[in-house]
Amino acid sequence: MSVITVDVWSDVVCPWCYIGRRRLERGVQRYREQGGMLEVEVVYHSFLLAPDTPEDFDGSVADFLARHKGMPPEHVQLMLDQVTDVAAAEGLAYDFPAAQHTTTLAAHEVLHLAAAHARQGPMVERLFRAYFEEGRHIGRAEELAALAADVGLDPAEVRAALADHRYADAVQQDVAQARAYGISGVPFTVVDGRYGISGAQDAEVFAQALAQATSDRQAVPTGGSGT
Amino acid sequence: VSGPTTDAGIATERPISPTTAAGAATPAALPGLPALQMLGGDGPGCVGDACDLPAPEPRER
Repeated sequence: MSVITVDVWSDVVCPWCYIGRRRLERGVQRYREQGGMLEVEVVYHSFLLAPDTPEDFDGSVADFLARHKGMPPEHVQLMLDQVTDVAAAEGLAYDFPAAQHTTTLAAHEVLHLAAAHARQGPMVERLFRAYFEEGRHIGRAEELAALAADVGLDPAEVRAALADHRYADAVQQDVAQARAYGISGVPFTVVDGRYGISGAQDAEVFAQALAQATSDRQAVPTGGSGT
Repeated sequence: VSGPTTDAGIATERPISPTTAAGAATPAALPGLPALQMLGGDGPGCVGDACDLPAPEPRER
């Protein structure tokens, strides 16, 4: 059966990316409910929103944005409060005061390792939940190894991969590909290599993109691509 | 760990080979950059450290 690939550029500490993941999931469900028959494969790609973030920052996300980045504290609080409300409407319990702000480079390396074992989806979910809901530190190798074990990956392999950075090039290639697309913010979704969706759009937008990609396939008789 | 709700409707993953993961990221999935047809306008997201504020919109549920 033909497969529609959905490529998502995302960062693990991006609050809209977790929200967008829920909306994409509902979009896929809606596509099915509306008769969409093609298999949908979601592939996550790395995007580093703030590569200069230190591994350890002594303070909350609000502190980091206000003190380290110079954003007005009242704007930061408004942003976090309102995003928390939107997340709650999607069934997500964001806990920004507990979140431990950190660099996400290592987490992205683990996502590539997970992809090599067909466990990327569960790993994405585990990292989002760990950061936004559980206050776990997703910048440290030991914590990442434990989280990876939660989704069935070998923690020893995670430690080794983070020590020799065997997936660092893959992370940078995702970043370069995002640049080639002109992506400056996330989440950013590409459906079937041709339809771009910027931001955490409503589920219906994802469903429509999948339906459009399906009808494109049906319009091309045969002799097309295979995978 | 993702539950049945989380991954509902999304295909089971196929492993991306270590060669692909370490070498070229999904080369087959993204040919012909960057001719994308944008759908749905500009949704909320994050650029750098700044994230969009939610638009005042009616909730779906």
